[in-house]
Amino acid sequence: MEYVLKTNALSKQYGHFKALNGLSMNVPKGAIYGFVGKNGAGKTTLIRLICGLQAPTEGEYFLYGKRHTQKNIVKSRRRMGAVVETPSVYMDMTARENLKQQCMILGCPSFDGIDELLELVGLSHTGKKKAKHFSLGMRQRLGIAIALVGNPDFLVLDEPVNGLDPQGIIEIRELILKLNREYQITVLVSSHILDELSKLATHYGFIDQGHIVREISAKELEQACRKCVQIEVSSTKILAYVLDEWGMEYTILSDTKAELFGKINVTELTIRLAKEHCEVKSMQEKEESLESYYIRLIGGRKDE
Amino acid sequence: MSKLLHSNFARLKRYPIFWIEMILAIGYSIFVCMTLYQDMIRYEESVAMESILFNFLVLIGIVMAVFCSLFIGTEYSDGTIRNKLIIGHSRNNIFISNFILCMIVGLLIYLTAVITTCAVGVPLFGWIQIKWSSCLLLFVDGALLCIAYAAIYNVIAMLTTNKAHTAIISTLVAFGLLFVTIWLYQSLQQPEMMQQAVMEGGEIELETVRNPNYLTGLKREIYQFILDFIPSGQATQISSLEVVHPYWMGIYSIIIIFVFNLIGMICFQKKDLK
Repeated sequence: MEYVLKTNALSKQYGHFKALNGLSMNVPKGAIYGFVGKNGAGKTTLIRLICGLQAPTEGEYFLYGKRHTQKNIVKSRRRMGAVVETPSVYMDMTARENLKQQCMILGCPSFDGIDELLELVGLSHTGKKKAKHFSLGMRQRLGIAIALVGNPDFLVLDEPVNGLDPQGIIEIRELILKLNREYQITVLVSSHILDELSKLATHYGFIDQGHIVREISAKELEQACRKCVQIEVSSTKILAYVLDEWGMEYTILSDTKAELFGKINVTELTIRLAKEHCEVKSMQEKEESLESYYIRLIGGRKDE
Repeated sequence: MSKLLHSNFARLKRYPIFWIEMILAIGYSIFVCMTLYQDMIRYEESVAMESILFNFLVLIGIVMAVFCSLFIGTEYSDGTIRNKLIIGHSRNNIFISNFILCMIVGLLIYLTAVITTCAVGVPLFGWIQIKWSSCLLLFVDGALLCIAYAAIYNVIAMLTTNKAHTAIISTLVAFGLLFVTIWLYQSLQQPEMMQQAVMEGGEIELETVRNPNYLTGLKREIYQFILDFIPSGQATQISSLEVVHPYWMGIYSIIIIFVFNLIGMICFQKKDLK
């Protein structure tokens, strides 16, 4: 699998405080990678490092296979666009002027494509209105448009829906999905709004206290979170034998615990297991959302 | 670097502060010429063209402090410096491109003031009376001190990530240099001898005595060195045509330009940006 971004034991220390602590993650090409963590977990710090705004204290990262200390990482950086924390826009310029500025910084041969970009982010009607008069949602969209100048294939968005109204959130979400599906742009989006990420991400990276707790694809997460019956028995060997007979899907968790998927006739199962001298100690239905999965993973501690 | 310069100059074209300062340079130059012309007519005094040619240099420090702090400070307040770093421009290139912009703005404003003074002053007061080579030397010294100011304020702006703090620090530096210059200049301008009134036989008589405030020896040399070294000191000497060491002043400006840019680039390279 090709990775757009790979980090290897990345650390960042500010004085005595360690914001990133041996963080290793991999963003596959073509993915929408949801970077999940609570406030102060290190999401923005990581984004600052990979954008070149700060240097890591330890560790390394690779952008399109180029190590961060290599001089030719400039070529990799040309392929990326980012909105870090707040949109970087000149407040005294219009949307069009901001995009022209970015074209000049990139050295684009012409200003072709600006109209299409404005259309894409829904700012083609802004005319001579300066960015300082834009709403927050409009500035976010302008920030994304600026990040898209030069046709990057890797987009980094740091909490892009912060402060937006529901309509704005939907618009940003649909824009990200469109960029990924129609333009094959790999997106790294950091957020602590789990519900929103669950509608977007193809891969997740859960971060806590400066390191990745788990990386998981959306498919694997779906598997992990789907509805099941958690059963505790005296012997999961016997349980497995019975379930195989019935052709039921299950996962063995330990010698005494298992998860059963699908519709279960509790009475029949209990009687069948009793015949095989297997006790049923407890049964409970379980369905996990991304939120409960996250809480279980991180521990649900208060923000520090 | 050319892309950064291109974008900087495109931004400069629509930057109101720059145009206000250009108008200020023109307006101030015309004002000085007209005021001196009125005095010339009223008091039947002559005015030498060269005495007003570099008048605007006294204000250039403040003008550049305002421009550099606001123009470069906007890169931090609007966060747009991140756009340049994200797409791979090196920190040194960003630093130097901002310095070049500040330098060119300073030179443009200086040149505008000189040209305006010539355009208005020559018909009123006649041609320059001093040697052209001396005039050119002073002009070059003036240009170099503008570039030195650009180096100083660029460093302040690039290393201070808050636009308001940058403006305050730059303005304080500009006025601080000005006050130091005034103090040094006044100390060096003290006459060696002075008239002192003494009572003798019930009558007041004037006596010529040594001025105790007159600087001599090493102290005088140090004061003169500082006045020659700091850009505001150079500006004061050039505008009043009382330059003691014209060649050394140019060298000092070059040293300031080099040292400030070097220190600035090293510090900016290590700076963590948000």
